[in-house]
Amino acid sequence: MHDGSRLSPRVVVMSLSAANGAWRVHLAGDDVTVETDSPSPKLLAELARPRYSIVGHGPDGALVGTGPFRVSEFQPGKKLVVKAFEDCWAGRAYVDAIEITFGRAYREQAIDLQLDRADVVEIAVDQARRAAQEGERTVMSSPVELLAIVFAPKLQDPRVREGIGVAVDRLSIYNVLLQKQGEPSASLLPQWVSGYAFLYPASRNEERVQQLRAGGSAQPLTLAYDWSDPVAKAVAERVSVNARDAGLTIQVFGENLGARQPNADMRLLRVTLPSPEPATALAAIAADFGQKERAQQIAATVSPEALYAAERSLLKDLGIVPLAYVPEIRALSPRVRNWAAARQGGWSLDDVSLALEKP
Amino acid sequence: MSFRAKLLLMFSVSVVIVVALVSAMVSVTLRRSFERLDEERTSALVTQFRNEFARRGQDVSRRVEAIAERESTLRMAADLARANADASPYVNEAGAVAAAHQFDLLEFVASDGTIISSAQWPARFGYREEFFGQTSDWSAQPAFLKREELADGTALGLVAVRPVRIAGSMLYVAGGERLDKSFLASLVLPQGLRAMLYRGTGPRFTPSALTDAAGAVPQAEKLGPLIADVQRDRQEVSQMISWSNDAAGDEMLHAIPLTGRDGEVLGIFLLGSSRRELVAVENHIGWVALLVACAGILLGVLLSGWVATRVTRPVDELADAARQVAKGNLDARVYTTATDELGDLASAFNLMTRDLSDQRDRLVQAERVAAWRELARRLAHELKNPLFPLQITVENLVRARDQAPGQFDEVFQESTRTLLAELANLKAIVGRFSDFAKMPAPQVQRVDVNDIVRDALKVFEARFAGGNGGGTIRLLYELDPTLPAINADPELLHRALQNLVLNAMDAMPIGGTLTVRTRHQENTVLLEVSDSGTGLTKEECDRLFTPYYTTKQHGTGLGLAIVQSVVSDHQGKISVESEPGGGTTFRIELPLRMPASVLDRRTHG
Repeated sequence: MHDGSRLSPRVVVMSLSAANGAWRVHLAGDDVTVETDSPSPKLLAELARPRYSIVGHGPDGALVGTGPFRVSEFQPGKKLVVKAFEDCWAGRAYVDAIEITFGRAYREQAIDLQLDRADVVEIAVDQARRAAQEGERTVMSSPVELLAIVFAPKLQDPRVREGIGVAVDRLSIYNVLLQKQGEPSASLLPQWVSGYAFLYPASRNEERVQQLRAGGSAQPLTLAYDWSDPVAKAVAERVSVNARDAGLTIQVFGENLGARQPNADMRLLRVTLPSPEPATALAAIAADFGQKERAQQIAATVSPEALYAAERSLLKDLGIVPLAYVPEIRALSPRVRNWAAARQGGWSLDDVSLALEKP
Repeated sequence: MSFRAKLLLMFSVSVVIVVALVSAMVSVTLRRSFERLDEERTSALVTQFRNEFARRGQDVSRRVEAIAERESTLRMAADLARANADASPYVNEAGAVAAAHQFDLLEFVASDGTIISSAQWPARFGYREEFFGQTSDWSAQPAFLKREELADGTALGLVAVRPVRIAGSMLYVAGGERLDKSFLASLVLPQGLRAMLYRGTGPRFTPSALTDAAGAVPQAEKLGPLIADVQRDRQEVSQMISWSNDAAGDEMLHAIPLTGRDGEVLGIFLLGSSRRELVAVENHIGWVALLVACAGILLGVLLSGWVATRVTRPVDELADAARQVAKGNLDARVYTTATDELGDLASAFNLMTRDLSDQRDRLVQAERVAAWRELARRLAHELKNPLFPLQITVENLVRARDQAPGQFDEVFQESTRTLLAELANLKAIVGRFSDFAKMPAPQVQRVDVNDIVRDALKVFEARFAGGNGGGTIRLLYELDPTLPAINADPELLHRALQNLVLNAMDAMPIGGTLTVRTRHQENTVLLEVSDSGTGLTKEECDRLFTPYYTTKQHGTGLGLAIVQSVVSDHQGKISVESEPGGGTTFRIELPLRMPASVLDRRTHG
């Protein structure tokens, strides 16, 4: 481990116990046993989630891992600096250190890349095509982020939920605002994960929209989005335009994710796919929305039919209107070597290296 | 009120009226002038707004044409002209181009009316607007007003549309400027004017749809009727709006309907002209006019006083002189250097008094001569009667001594008696004249007139009872028992009353009735002596109190003159009423109290 100690089973037990309080983790010699209240056929997929990373704690309480990089400096919300761990069990990383800056707008990141102040930056999904057309080096994951409208618990009017659900034009959002990146989605899981997402109609129901519109106007609603996310802003405004066709008036406003407005009726959120395994992913989503018991049930689901039914039920109960799944897109500096783009997103920096000079 | 006060009042009133009229005329004229100027200014600004509106329309058209002719626009049109063209890459194009060309409104619209990109409402891509297909040739169309649907409501825009034709396909470029408070702020307006814009279209007035360069208009609901009039009549309307009780806050609003391509009223432009400056100027002028008027009135009053003094000074002098003349001072003169009518009047007055003085002197002289002549005539007449018997008697004595000495003693005795009788007569005549000449000054004391009347008539009662030569005279007393005492000389009153009684007895030779009355009347005591005698003619009444005038055969004409003298010395009046055959009444009015000056003069003089 980063502090020079050996990775012991005891550390594994402590780490897993801290990650999931519902589990009972036992140490028996060098064996570690995990006991759950219900059958967990997807336990391995669950353990593969980042939250179950094996970490210890140093004398000062700092996290101590086992990977090729160890934390050198961390300023929450601003910056993280990791340095190569010389004595890593898998061998030393190629780069000496990596500095990650948080909170940079897409536009600032693009400038940083152009000015060689950054080697890897995020690209807004609507800029992917432009970046590709301009010859930028980009890597893209599968659609792993769900853009969805989440209703506030106070908003119980089913007409509003239905109106937005049938009026929103996901295809236009996908084609224009997302520049055909990702996929339109009316489901919680992407097609490449669940395989049945096409069963959820993503197109707009014009007939029902006209019926709702003829029913008169409802009280104005508010839809909040992350003010630093231009894609979210565009999508929220498009939802507002579409909802107007159904007789719904929606006022959109940007908010800081760190200081959310409590009076918003709806919120446009990005929900990261927790796992490429469908049941695990759906269970994690249910747990994140406070449906822990249902999450356990979903985690035990094996058949696709049952999973589809569970997802359908979850969609109805959680008050979520999925809009689209979008990929993670990054632009790389030409000197970056061996960048491995995982399908489910995330970084794998073990083998990444930098060319000494620009090619 | 004195003449000077009247003159001053008249002048002052005239000055006030004139100043007030002039001030009112000046005020009204200035107000009308200012209002006319204000109307002209507003009219000029309305014209300026129209010109500015037209200029901006041309500018919008020109800029939209420039966008339509841009290389990138042509490329986009060419790209979209392809079969199965993908419009999504251009979704943000309008926003970027609008920012570069400083357009508030810009849309790229496909030939079927589908919005490809919208700067004013980016999220509205993909929606269709049938509006663009309603005009066959947009190239020749000028800019026009258009109502734009936006995310936060509606906006009024000055819009121009230009088509881009590529390979038989059409791309519309619709750009323009919003008519909002920024547009209003860009208008250069003089101080005191403001521009407002109403963007509501519904039949009901919406206060929030009214804005000026600063934003929402307070008390906007007051403009509701004006807006309604313009929407109904679709023509310009002017109206005065009172924002508060303060008249200075009033505003003249000129409302101009802004119509779209089909003539519908899309908005209303309002040009407000505050009357605060006008009212301030009017108030300032009013205060200045008031001050000038007050100063004018004060100056006018002072000048009026001065003029009145100058005008009335000769008049006052004339009045003083006239009063002196009235008191008998005919030597009074008015000294003035004026050469106007008042100078002429003063000269005439002086000439008049001089003539009066001369006439009085001549009259006195003539009266004196006449009196002496009358006196001489009376004396000659009175003395001639006894002198003739004296002459005859003396001649008889001489003749008797020469021709009949034996009878001389008898004749002497008889002649002596005659001479003595005539001499006694002469002595009586001389005595009466002497008495008239020696009229004493009254010795005033408190007396009862009734007592004097009784004492004076007591000596005549025997004669009345015994007959007055030919008949009995009946005496009647009608004396007021409440008669107050007066200041008078009892001896003189006694004498005057006796003369009146003797005069009455002479008027009743065959008897009659003599009535004596006393009466108290205000501040006087009346004493009347009435007889039932022969009466007097009017001419006789007029001359009755003239000294030495008599209607009797042997009268001296001094009796009634003495009566008048006594009454006059007591500050009283005597009058006579008589008709021939109807008797005569003498009425004496004596004051209860004589003035102190008269008392002193009468007592010590």
